Amino acid sequence: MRASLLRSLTIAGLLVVAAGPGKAHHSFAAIFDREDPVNLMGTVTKVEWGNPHTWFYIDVENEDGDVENWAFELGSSNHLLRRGWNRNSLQVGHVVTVVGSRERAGGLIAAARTLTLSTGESLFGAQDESQ
Amino acid sequence: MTRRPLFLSIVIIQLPLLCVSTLARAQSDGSHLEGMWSDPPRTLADSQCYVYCTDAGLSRLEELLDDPANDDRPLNELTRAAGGYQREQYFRPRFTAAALENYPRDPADDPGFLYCEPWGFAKQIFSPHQLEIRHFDDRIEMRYGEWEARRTVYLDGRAAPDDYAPSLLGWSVGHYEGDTLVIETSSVRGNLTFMGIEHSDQLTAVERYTRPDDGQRLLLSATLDDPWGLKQPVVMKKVWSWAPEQEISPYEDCKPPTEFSRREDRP
Amino acid sequence: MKPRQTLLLGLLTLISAEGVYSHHARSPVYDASRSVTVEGLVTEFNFYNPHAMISLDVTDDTGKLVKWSIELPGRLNLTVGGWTDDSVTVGERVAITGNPTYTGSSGMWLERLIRADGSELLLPGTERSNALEDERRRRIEERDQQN
Repeated sequence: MRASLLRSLTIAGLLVVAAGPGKAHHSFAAIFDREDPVNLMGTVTKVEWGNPHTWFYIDVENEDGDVENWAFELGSSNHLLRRGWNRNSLQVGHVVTVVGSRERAGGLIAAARTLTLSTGESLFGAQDESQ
Repeated sequence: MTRRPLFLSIVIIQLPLLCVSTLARAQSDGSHLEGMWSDPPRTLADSQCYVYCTDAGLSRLEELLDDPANDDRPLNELTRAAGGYQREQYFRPRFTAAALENYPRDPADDPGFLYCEPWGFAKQIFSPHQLEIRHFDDRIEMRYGEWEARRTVYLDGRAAPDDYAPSLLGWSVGHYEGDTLVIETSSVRGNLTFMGIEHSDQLTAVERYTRPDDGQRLLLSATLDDPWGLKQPVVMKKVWSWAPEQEISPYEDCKPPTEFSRREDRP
Repeated sequence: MKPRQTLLLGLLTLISAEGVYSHHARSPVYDASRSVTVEGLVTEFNFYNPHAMISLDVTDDTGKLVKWSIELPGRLNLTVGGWTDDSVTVGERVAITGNPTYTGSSGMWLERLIRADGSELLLPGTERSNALEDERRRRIEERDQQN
Protein backbone atom coordinates (compact mmCIF):
# COMPACT_ATOMS: atom_id res chain seq x y z
CA MET A 1 0.00 0.00 0.00
CA ARG A 2 1.25 3.46 -0.83
CA ALA A 3 2.38 5.64 1.98
CA SER A 4 -0.03 8.51 2.23
CA LEU A 5 0.92 12.07 2.81
CA LEU A 6 -1.23 12.10 5.89
CA ARG A 7 0.56 9.15 7.38
CA SER A 8 3.99 10.59 6.69
CA LEU A 9 2.92 13.95 8.04
CA THR A 10 1.53 12.36 11.16
CA ILE A 11 4.78 10.54 11.73
CA ALA A 12 6.72 13.75 11.17
CA GLY A 13 4.46 15.44 13.68
CA LEU A 14 5.14 12.76 16.25
CA LEU A 15 8.86 13.13 15.75
CA VAL A 16 8.65 16.86 16.30
CA VAL A 17 6.82 16.35 19.55
CA ALA A 18 9.20 13.58 20.58
CA ALA A 19 12.12 15.94 20.10
CA GLY A 20 10.86 17.65 23.20
CA PRO A 21 9.54 21.04 24.09
CA GLY A 22 12.12 23.77 23.94
CA LYS A 23 13.86 22.32 20.94
CA ALA A 24 11.00 21.70 18.61
CA HIS A 25 8.93 24.59 17.46
CA HIS A 26 5.28 24.09 18.19
CA SER A 27 2.11 25.97 18.61
CA PHE A 28 1.98 25.94 22.39
CA ALA A 29 5.33 27.62 22.96
CA ALA A 30 4.71 30.01 20.10
CA ILE A 31 1.58 31.34 21.75
CA PHE A 32 2.18 30.82 25.47
CA ASP A 33 5.27 31.83 27.39
CA ARG A 34 6.48 29.38 30.02
CA GLU A 35 8.72 32.16 31.34
CA ASP A 36 5.60 34.21 32.13
CA PRO A 37 3.77 32.07 34.68
CA VAL A 38 0.45 33.08 36.21
CA ASN A 39 -1.03 31.93 39.49
CA LEU A 40 -4.54 33.31 39.89
CA MET A 41 -7.54 32.65 42.08
CA GLY A 42 -11.02 33.49 40.92
CA THR A 43 -14.59 32.45 40.34
CA VAL A 44 -15.49 30.47 37.23
CA THR A 45 -17.82 32.47 34.95
CA LYS A 46 -17.95 30.18 31.93
CA VAL A 47 -16.76 26.74 30.81
CA GLU A 48 -16.68 25.73 27.16
CA TRP A 49 -15.75 22.17 26.33
CA GLY A 50 -14.34 21.67 22.90
CA ASN A 51 -11.71 20.69 20.38
CA PRO A 52 -8.87 21.09 19.96
CA HIS A 53 -9.10 23.03 23.23
CA THR A 54 -11.50 23.49 26.11
CA TRP A 55 -11.70 26.98 27.63
CA PHE A 56 -12.84 28.37 30.93
CA TYR A 57 -13.08 31.91 32.27
CA ILE A 58 -12.62 33.23 35.78
CA ASP A 59 -13.23 36.61 37.39
CA VAL A 60 -10.09 37.69 39.22
CA GLU A 61 -9.72 40.74 41.42
CA ASN A 62 -6.51 42.58 40.53
CA GLU A 63 -4.27 44.68 42.76
CA ASP A 64 -6.37 47.79 42.13
CA GLY A 65 -9.50 46.00 43.24
CA ASP A 66 -10.88 45.78 39.71
CA VAL A 67 -12.33 42.53 38.44
CA GLU A 68 -10.71 41.10 35.34
CA ASN A 69 -12.04 38.17 33.35
CA TRP A 70 -9.25 35.77 32.43
CA ALA A 71 -9.55 33.09 29.75
CA PHE A 72 -7.71 29.80 30.24
CA GLU A 73 -7.01 27.22 27.60
CA LEU A 74 -7.10 23.51 28.45
CA GLY A 75 -6.53 20.35 26.42
CA SER A 76 -9.17 18.91 24.10
CA SER A 77 -12.34 17.51 25.62
CA ASN A 78 -11.29 13.99 24.56
CA HIS A 79 -7.98 14.44 26.29
CA LEU A 80 -9.47 15.88 29.49
CA LEU A 81 -12.00 13.06 29.77
CA ARG A 82 -9.17 10.56 29.42
CA ARG A 83 -7.34 12.37 32.20
CA GLY A 84 -10.19 11.84 34.59
CA TRP A 85 -12.26 14.97 34.07
CA ASN A 86 -15.98 14.87 33.56
CA ARG A 87 -18.39 17.55 32.41
CA ASN A 88 -19.11 18.55 36.01
CA SER A 89 -15.51 18.78 37.13
CA LEU A 90 -15.48 22.52 36.65
CA GLN A 91 -18.66 24.55 36.96
CA VAL A 92 -19.70 28.17 36.92
CA GLY A 93 -19.38 29.52 40.45
CA HIS A 94 -16.51 27.27 41.47
CA VAL A 95 -13.62 29.11 43.09
CA VAL A 96 -10.37 27.86 41.60
CA THR A 97 -6.68 28.58 41.76
CA VAL A 98 -5.04 28.23 38.37
CA VAL A 99 -1.37 27.88 37.55
CA GLY A 100 -0.36 28.32 33.94
CA SER A 101 1.50 30.26 31.27
CA ARG A 102 0.33 33.59 29.93
CA GLU A 103 -0.04 34.21 26.20
CA ARG A 104 2.86 36.04 24.60
CA ALA A 105 0.55 38.68 23.11
CA GLY A 106 -0.13 39.94 26.64
CA GLY A 107 -3.91 39.55 26.82
CA LEU A 108 -5.81 38.15 29.79
CA ILE A 109 -5.32 34.71 28.30
CA ALA A 110 -3.25 31.80 29.55
CA ALA A 111 -2.80 28.07 29.22
CA ALA A 112 -3.80 26.29 32.42
CA ARG A 113 -1.38 23.68 33.73
CA THR A 114 -3.11 22.82 37.00
CA LEU A 115 -6.31 23.87 38.71
CA THR A 116 -7.05 23.51 42.38
CA LEU A 117 -10.67 23.63 43.48
CA SER A 118 -11.76 25.07 46.83
CA THR A 119 -12.29 21.46 47.94
CA GLY A 120 -8.56 20.94 47.50
CA GLU A 121 -9.06 18.66 44.51
CA SER A 122 -6.50 19.15 41.75
CA LEU A 123 -7.10 18.89 38.02
CA PHE A 124 -4.51 18.86 35.27
CA GLY A 125 -4.87 21.09 32.25
CA ALA A 126 -3.97 18.23 29.91
CA GLN A 127 -2.62 20.55 27.28
CA ASP A 128 -1.86 18.55 24.20
CA GLU A 129 1.07 20.48 22.90
CA SER A 130 0.98 18.79 19.53
CA GLN A 131 -2.23 20.68 18.81
CA MET B 1 -43.69 33.26 -14.20
CA THR B 2 -40.18 33.30 -12.94
CA ARG B 3 -38.55 30.53 -11.04
CA ARG B 4 -35.81 31.27 -8.64
CA PRO B 5 -32.65 29.82 -10.16
CA LEU B 6 -30.30 27.72 -8.08
CA PHE B 7 -27.57 30.07 -9.10
CA LEU B 8 -29.11 33.01 -7.29
CA SER B 9 -27.42 32.17 -4.03
CA ILE B 10 -24.06 32.34 -5.70
CA VAL B 11 -24.76 35.64 -7.41
CA ILE B 12 -25.65 37.09 -4.06
CA ILE B 13 -22.32 36.10 -2.62
CA GLN B 14 -20.65 38.39 -5.11
CA LEU B 15 -22.90 41.37 -4.60
CA PRO B 16 -21.42 42.76 -1.40
CA LEU B 17 -18.01 42.74 -3.03
CA LEU B 18 -19.29 44.90 -5.87
CA CYS B 19 -20.84 47.26 -3.37
CA VAL B 20 -17.51 47.69 -1.63
CA SER B 21 -15.73 48.74 -4.76
CA THR B 22 -18.43 51.02 -6.09
CA LEU B 23 -19.88 52.60 -2.99
CA ALA B 24 -16.92 52.45 -0.60
CA ARG B 25 -19.15 51.46 2.24
CA ALA B 26 -18.15 51.91 5.83
CA GLN B 27 -16.33 49.02 7.43
CA SER B 28 -18.61 46.67 9.30
CA ASP B 29 -18.18 46.00 13.00
CA GLY B 30 -19.13 42.40 12.26
CA SER B 31 -22.13 42.39 14.57
CA HIS B 32 -24.42 41.42 11.69
CA LEU B 33 -22.76 37.98 11.50
CA GLU B 34 -22.85 37.34 15.23
CA GLY B 35 -25.03 34.58 16.67
CA MET B 36 -26.04 31.00 16.00
CA TRP B 37 -26.32 29.48 12.53
CA SER B 38 -27.26 25.96 11.49
CA ASP B 39 -28.45 23.73 8.63
CA PRO B 40 -29.45 25.58 5.44
CA PRO B 41 -33.03 26.26 4.34
CA ARG B 42 -34.84 23.23 2.95
CA THR B 43 -34.53 24.27 -0.67
CA LEU B 44 -32.93 22.39 -3.55
CA ALA B 45 -30.10 24.87 -4.02
CA ASP B 46 -29.28 25.45 -0.38
CA SER B 47 -29.53 21.76 0.47
CA GLN B 48 -26.93 21.01 -2.17
CA CYS B 49 -24.66 23.26 -0.07
CA TYR B 50 -25.50 21.43 3.18
CA VAL B 51 -21.85 20.44 3.56
CA TYR B 52 -20.28 22.23 0.61
CA CYS B 53 -21.08 22.93 -3.01
CA THR B 54 -19.48 24.38 -6.11
CA ASP B 55 -20.87 26.51 -8.92
CA ALA B 56 -20.16 23.61 -11.28
CA GLY B 57 -22.21 21.17 -9.23
CA LEU B 58 -25.08 23.61 -8.74
CA SER B 59 -25.38 24.47 -12.41
CA ARG B 60 -25.27 20.77 -13.28
CA LEU B 61 -28.13 20.07 -10.88
CA GLU B 62 -30.06 22.95 -12.43
CA GLU B 63 -29.62 21.42 -15.89
CA LEU B 64 -30.70 17.99 -14.69
CA LEU B 65 -33.82 19.38 -13.02
CA ASP B 66 -34.73 21.42 -16.10
CA ASP B 67 -34.58 18.43 -18.42
CA PRO B 68 -38.05 16.82 -18.68
CA ALA B 69 -36.35 13.51 -19.50
CA ASN B 70 -35.30 13.36 -15.83
CA ASP B 71 -38.73 14.03 -14.35
CA ASP B 72 -39.29 10.38 -13.45
CA ARG B 73 -35.85 9.82 -11.94
CA PRO B 74 -35.57 9.90 -8.13
CA LEU B 75 -34.28 13.21 -6.81
CA ASN B 76 -31.35 11.67 -5.00
CA GLU B 77 -30.22 10.13 -8.27
CA LEU B 78 -30.03 13.65 -9.73
CA THR B 79 -28.24 15.18 -6.74
CA ARG B 80 -25.81 12.29 -6.85
CA ALA B 81 -25.26 12.80 -10.57
CA ALA B 82 -24.57 16.49 -9.96
CA GLY B 83 -22.11 15.50 -7.24
CA GLY B 84 -20.41 13.08 -9.58
CA TYR B 85 -20.15 15.77 -12.24
CA GLN B 86 -18.66 18.16 -9.71
CA ARG B 87 -16.12 15.55 -8.66
CA GLU B 88 -15.04 14.56 -12.16
CA GLN B 89 -15.34 17.88 -14.02
CA TYR B 90 -14.44 20.38 -11.32
CA PHE B 91 -12.29 18.76 -8.66
CA ARG B 92 -10.40 15.93 -10.33
CA PRO B 93 -8.73 18.08 -13.05
CA ARG B 94 -7.42 20.35 -10.30
CA PHE B 95 -5.74 17.59 -8.29
CA THR B 96 -2.00 17.02 -8.64
CA ALA B 97 -0.54 13.62 -9.43
CA ALA B 98 0.67 13.43 -5.84
CA ALA B 99 -2.84 13.94 -4.48
CA LEU B 100 -4.33 11.46 -6.95
CA GLU B 101 -2.00 8.68 -5.77
CA ASN B 102 -4.22 8.05 -2.79
CA TYR B 103 -7.57 9.08 -4.26
CA PRO B 104 -10.35 8.54 -3.50
CA ARG B 105 -9.59 7.72 0.09
CA ASP B 106 -11.56 4.99 1.76
CA PRO B 107 -13.75 6.56 4.47
CA ALA B 108 -12.70 3.62 6.63
CA ASP B 109 -9.21 5.19 6.72
CA ASP B 110 -10.48 8.46 8.16
CA PRO B 111 -8.78 9.05 11.54
CA GLY B 112 -11.97 10.76 12.68
CA PHE B 113 -13.80 7.49 12.15
CA LEU B 114 -11.05 5.13 13.27
CA TYR B 115 -9.69 7.03 16.27
CA CYS B 116 -12.18 9.81 16.98
CA GLU B 117 -9.62 12.43 16.01
CA PRO B 118 -11.27 15.83 15.57
CA TRP B 119 -11.40 17.18 12.05
CA GLY B 120 -8.79 19.55 10.71
CA PHE B 121 -9.47 23.01 9.32
CA ALA B 122 -10.26 21.94 5.74
CA LYS B 123 -13.19 19.82 6.90
CA GLN B 124 -14.20 21.71 10.01
CA ILE B 125 -15.12 24.93 8.19
CA PHE B 126 -17.67 22.98 6.12
CA SER B 127 -19.01 20.89 9.00
CA PRO B 128 -22.79 20.53 9.09
CA HIS B 129 -25.09 21.91 11.80
CA GLN B 130 -24.29 24.63 14.32
CA LEU B 131 -21.85 27.48 13.82
CA GLU B 132 -21.73 30.20 16.45
CA ILE B 133 -19.91 33.44 15.64
CA ARG B 134 -18.85 35.75 18.46
CA HIS B 135 -17.12 39.07 18.17
CA PHE B 136 -14.55 40.69 20.41
CA ASP B 137 -12.49 43.82 19.85
CA ASP B 138 -9.44 42.03 18.59
CA ARG B 139 -10.78 38.61 17.56
CA ILE B 140 -13.67 36.49 16.43
CA GLU B 141 -14.47 33.13 17.95
CA MET B 142 -16.17 30.54 15.79
CA ARG B 143 -17.65 27.52 17.51
CA TYR B 144 -18.95 24.52 15.62
CA GLY B 145 -21.43 21.88 16.80
CA GLU B 146 -19.39 19.23 15.04
CA TRP B 147 -16.59 18.20 17.41
CA GLU B 148 -17.51 21.19 19.59
CA ALA B 149 -14.67 22.80 17.69
CA ARG B 150 -13.57 26.35 18.28
CA ARG B 151 -11.42 28.67 16.18
CA THR B 152 -9.92 32.04 16.95
CA VAL B 153 -9.66 34.56 14.14
CA TYR B 154 -7.50 37.57 14.99
CA LEU B 155 -8.80 40.89 13.74
CA ASP B 156 -5.75 42.94 14.73
CA GLY B 157 -3.71 41.58 11.87
CA ARG B 158 -1.19 39.84 14.07
CA ALA B 159 0.99 37.41 12.18
CA ALA B 160 1.59 33.89 13.40
CA PRO B 161 4.61 33.76 15.72
CA ASP B 162 7.80 32.82 13.86
CA ASP B 163 7.97 29.46 15.55
CA TYR B 164 4.28 28.60 15.14
CA ALA B 165 4.04 25.02 13.91
CA PRO B 166 1.18 23.88 11.67
CA SER B 167 -1.80 23.04 13.86
CA LEU B 168 -5.17 21.33 13.55
CA LEU B 169 -7.14 24.48 12.74
CA GLY B 170 -4.25 26.68 11.57
CA TRP B 171 -3.60 30.37 12.12
CA SER B 172 -6.38 32.71 11.01
CA VAL B 173 -6.55 36.47 10.63
CA GLY B 174 -9.64 38.33 9.50
CA HIS B 175 -10.80 41.73 8.27
CA TYR B 176 -13.93 43.25 6.78
CA GLU B 177 -14.50 44.38 3.23
CA GLY B 178 -17.75 46.23 3.65
CA ASP B 179 -20.06 43.69 5.24
CA THR B 180 -18.01 40.72 4.07
CA LEU B 181 -15.87 38.99 6.67
CA VAL B 182 -12.65 37.84 5.01
CA ILE B 183 -10.54 35.26 6.86
CA GLU B 184 -7.10 34.16 5.71
CA THR B 185 -5.71 30.93 7.12
CA SER B 186 -2.36 29.18 6.89
CA SER B 187 -0.16 26.92 9.08
CA VAL B 188 -2.68 24.08 8.94
CA ARG B 189 -1.21 20.66 9.64
CA GLY B 190 -1.55 18.24 6.70
CA ASN B 191 -4.91 16.48 6.94
CA LEU B 192 -8.04 15.40 5.05
CA THR B 193 -10.35 17.45 2.87
CA PHE B 194 -13.95 16.87 1.80
CA MET B 195 -12.74 16.60 -1.80
CA GLY B 196 -11.42 13.08 -1.20
CA ILE B 197 -7.75 14.13 -1.27
CA GLU B 198 -5.39 15.09 1.51
CA HIS B 199 -3.74 18.48 1.81
CA SER B 200 -0.26 19.48 2.96
CA ASP B 201 0.75 22.06 5.56
CA GLN B 202 1.21 24.46 2.64
CA LEU B 203 -2.58 24.84 2.43
CA THR B 204 -3.87 28.40 2.34
CA ALA B 205 -7.50 29.42 2.49
CA VAL B 206 -9.48 32.61 2.06
CA GLU B 207 -12.99 32.43 3.49
CA ARG B 208 -15.59 35.09 2.69
CA TYR B 209 -18.71 35.24 4.87
CA THR B 210 -21.75 37.31 3.93
CA ARG B 211 -25.29 37.65 5.24
CA PRO B 212 -27.41 38.62 2.23
CA ASP B 213 -31.12 39.07 1.54
CA ASP B 214 -33.30 39.21 4.59
CA GLY B 215 -30.55 38.11 6.93
CA GLN B 216 -31.80 34.57 7.27
CA ARG B 217 -28.79 32.96 5.59
CA LEU B 218 -25.04 32.98 6.06
CA LEU B 219 -23.00 32.23 2.95
CA LEU B 220 -19.41 31.07 2.75
CA SER B 221 -17.25 31.15 -0.33
CA ALA B 222 -13.88 29.58 0.45
CA THR B 223 -10.90 29.52 -1.90
CA LEU B 224 -8.47 26.75 -1.01
CA ASP B 225 -5.00 26.38 -2.47
CA ASP B 226 -2.25 23.88 -1.80
CA PRO B 227 0.84 23.50 -4.01
CA TRP B 228 1.12 19.85 -2.98
CA GLY B 229 -2.43 18.74 -3.72
CA LEU B 230 -3.94 21.29 -6.12
CA LYS B 231 -2.82 22.46 -9.56
CA GLN B 232 -5.03 25.52 -9.16
CA PRO B 233 -7.22 26.83 -6.34
CA VAL B 234 -10.70 25.43 -5.76
CA VAL B 235 -13.72 27.44 -4.64
CA MET B 236 -16.08 25.67 -2.25
CA LYS B 237 -19.29 27.23 -0.95
CA LYS B 238 -21.66 26.62 1.91
CA VAL B 239 -24.96 27.91 3.31
CA TRP B 240 -26.28 28.15 6.89
CA SER B 241 -29.62 29.37 8.29
CA TRP B 242 -30.11 31.81 11.14
CA ALA B 243 -30.89 29.54 14.12
CA PRO B 244 -30.93 31.55 17.38
CA GLU B 245 -32.89 28.81 19.16
CA GLN B 246 -30.15 26.24 18.74
CA GLU B 247 -27.19 25.53 20.96
CA ILE B 248 -23.98 23.60 20.83
CA SER B 249 -24.41 20.35 22.74
CA PRO B 250 -21.78 18.22 24.48
CA TYR B 251 -19.70 16.13 22.11
CA GLU B 252 -18.21 13.43 24.26
CA ASP B 253 -19.53 10.09 23.15
CA CYS B 254 -17.27 9.43 20.20
CA LYS B 255 -15.94 5.90 20.38
CA PRO B 256 -13.84 4.12 17.77
CA PRO B 257 -15.74 1.56 15.71
CA THR B 258 -15.97 -1.99 16.96
CA GLU B 259 -16.60 -3.35 13.47
CA PHE B 260 -16.24 -2.04 9.94
CA SER B 261 -15.24 -3.23 6.52
CA ARG B 262 -12.79 -1.71 4.10
CA ARG B 263 -13.93 -0.64 0.67
CA GLU B 264 -12.35 -3.55 -1.16
CA ASP B 265 -14.15 -5.99 1.13
CA ARG B 266 -17.58 -4.49 0.67
CA PRO B 267 -20.01 -5.81 -1.93
CA MET C 1 -23.61 -3.41 27.70
CA LYS C 2 -22.74 -3.92 24.11
CA PRO C 3 -20.13 -1.36 23.11
CA ARG C 4 -21.50 1.43 21.03
CA GLN C 5 -20.50 1.19 17.46
CA THR C 6 -19.00 3.47 14.96
CA LEU C 7 -20.03 6.88 15.84
CA LEU C 8 -18.80 8.85 12.93
CA LEU C 9 -20.77 6.91 10.47
CA GLY C 10 -23.42 9.47 9.77
CA LEU C 11 -20.75 12.02 9.08
CA LEU C 12 -18.99 9.72 6.71
CA THR C 13 -22.20 9.18 4.85
CA LEU C 14 -22.81 12.90 4.80
CA ILE C 15 -19.50 13.78 3.27
CA SER C 16 -20.08 11.84 0.13
CA ALA C 17 -20.26 14.42 -2.61
CA GLU C 18 -23.11 12.43 -4.07
CA GLY C 19 -26.20 13.61 -2.31
CA VAL C 20 -25.30 14.78 1.12
CA TYR C 21 -28.39 13.81 3.05
CA SER C 22 -29.19 10.76 0.99
CA HIS C 23 -30.26 7.61 2.79
CA HIS C 24 -28.16 5.61 0.40
CA ALA C 25 -24.67 6.87 0.95
CA ARG C 26 -21.70 4.65 1.63
CA SER C 27 -20.59 3.56 5.06
CA PRO C 28 -17.83 1.25 6.30
CA VAL C 29 -20.16 -0.33 8.86
CA TYR C 30 -23.70 -0.44 7.51
CA ASP C 31 -24.79 -1.82 4.17
CA ALA C 32 -26.83 0.96 2.60
CA SER C 33 -28.00 -1.32 -0.19
CA ARG C 34 -30.06 -3.41 2.25
CA SER C 35 -32.80 -2.65 4.75
CA VAL C 36 -34.18 -4.74 7.60
CA THR C 37 -37.06 -4.10 9.98
CA VAL C 38 -37.27 -5.11 13.62
CA GLU C 39 -39.93 -4.45 16.22
CA GLY C 40 -39.41 -4.34 19.95
CA LEU C 41 -39.28 -2.46 23.22
CA VAL C 42 -36.94 0.47 23.72
CA THR C 43 -34.59 -0.20 26.65
CA GLU C 44 -32.35 2.83 26.18
CA PHE C 45 -32.25 6.09 24.22
CA ASN C 46 -28.94 7.92 24.32
CA PHE C 47 -29.36 11.42 22.92
CA TYR C 48 -25.64 11.97 22.40
CA ASN C 49 -23.03 13.33 20.01
CA PRO C 50 -21.73 12.50 17.57
CA HIS C 51 -24.45 9.84 17.18
CA ALA C 52 -27.52 8.86 19.13
CA MET C 53 -28.35 5.25 19.95
CA ILE C 54 -31.52 3.29 20.59
CA SER C 55 -31.27 -0.09 22.32
CA LEU C 56 -34.12 -2.37 21.44
CA ASP C 57 -35.24 -5.73 22.92
CA VAL C 58 -36.51 -7.79 19.99
CA THR C 59 -38.02 -11.27 20.20
CA ASP C 60 -37.03 -13.19 17.07
CA ASP C 61 -38.99 -15.87 15.21
CA THR C 62 -37.73 -18.62 17.49
CA GLY C 63 -38.83 -16.75 20.60
CA LYS C 64 -35.31 -15.77 21.53
CA LEU C 65 -34.61 -12.27 22.89
CA VAL C 66 -32.13 -10.31 20.77
CA LYS C 67 -30.75 -6.95 21.86
CA TRP C 68 -30.41 -4.57 18.91
CA SER C 69 -28.31 -1.42 18.82
CA ILE C 70 -29.72 1.14 16.45
CA GLU C 71 -27.54 4.07 15.58
CA LEU C 72 -28.92 7.37 14.32
CA PRO C 73 -27.79 10.97 13.75
CA GLY C 74 -26.45 12.74 16.81
CA ARG C 75 -28.05 15.32 19.04
CA LEU C 76 -26.42 18.17 17.10
CA ASN C 77 -28.32 16.98 14.03
CA LEU C 78 -31.58 15.76 15.63
CA THR C 79 -32.18 19.02 17.51
CA VAL C 80 -32.39 20.77 14.16
CA GLY C 81 -35.48 18.63 13.52
CA GLY C 82 -36.93 19.38 16.95
CA TRP C 83 -35.97 16.11 18.66
CA THR C 84 -35.34 16.09 22.41
CA ASP C 85 -34.03 13.49 24.81
CA ASP C 86 -37.55 12.17 25.29
CA SER C 87 -38.49 11.89 21.63
CA VAL C 88 -38.05 8.15 22.17
CA THR C 89 -38.97 6.78 25.59
CA VAL C 90 -37.80 3.70 27.40
CA GLY C 91 -40.53 1.04 27.40
CA GLU C 92 -42.26 2.15 24.22
CA ARG C 93 -42.81 -0.29 21.38
CA VAL C 94 -41.40 0.77 18.02
CA ALA C 95 -40.78 -0.70 14.60
CA ILE C 96 -37.45 0.33 13.14
CA THR C 97 -36.21 -0.04 9.59
CA GLY C 98 -32.55 0.48 8.87
CA ASN C 99 -29.36 -0.56 7.11
CA PRO C 100 -27.86 -3.69 8.72
CA THR C 101 -24.17 -4.13 9.49
CA TYR C 102 -22.00 -5.87 6.91
CA THR C 103 -21.08 -8.46 9.53
CA GLY C 104 -24.64 -9.43 10.35
CA SER C 105 -24.36 -8.35 14.00
CA SER C 106 -27.58 -7.09 15.58
CA GLY C 107 -26.94 -3.44 14.75
CA MET C 108 -28.31 -1.07 12.15
CA TRP C 109 -28.34 2.53 10.98
CA LEU C 110 -31.84 3.95 11.42
CA GLU C 111 -33.87 4.85 8.35
CA ARG C 112 -37.43 4.90 9.69
CA LEU C 113 -39.04 4.71 13.11
CA ILE C 114 -42.76 3.89 13.48
CA ARG C 115 -44.40 4.19 16.89
CA ALA C 116 -46.99 1.78 18.27
CA ASP C 117 -49.81 4.15 17.23
CA GLY C 118 -48.63 4.02 13.62
CA SER C 119 -47.15 7.52 13.54
CA GLU C 120 -43.68 8.04 12.15
CA LEU C 121 -40.96 9.91 14.01
CA LEU C 122 -39.27 11.75 11.17
CA LEU C 123 -35.53 12.30 10.98
CA PRO C 124 -34.38 15.81 9.98
CA GLY C 125 -33.00 14.35 6.75
CA THR C 126 -36.36 12.84 5.86
CA GLU C 127 -38.15 16.12 6.46
CA ARG C 128 -35.63 17.86 4.21
CA SER C 129 -36.05 15.24 1.50
CA ASN C 130 -39.82 15.69 1.63
CA ALA C 131 -39.50 19.48 1.30
CA LEU C 132 -37.17 19.08 -1.68
CA GLU C 133 -39.56 16.66 -3.39
CA ASP C 134 -42.29 19.30 -3.04
CA GLU C 135 -40.07 21.99 -4.52
CA ARG C 136 -39.16 19.73 -7.40
CA ARG C 137 -42.83 19.00 -8.13
CA ARG C 138 -43.56 22.74 -8.19
CA ARG C 139 -40.68 23.31 -10.61
CA ILE C 140 -42.02 20.65 -12.94
CA GLU C 141 -45.55 22.08 -12.75
CA GLU C 142 -44.32 25.58 -13.53
CA ARG C 143 -42.31 24.33 -16.46
CA ASP C 144 -45.27 22.41 -17.82
CA GLN C 145 -47.47 25.51 -17.55
CA GLN C 146 -44.97 27.57 -19.51
CA ASN C 147 -44.89 25.08 -22.36
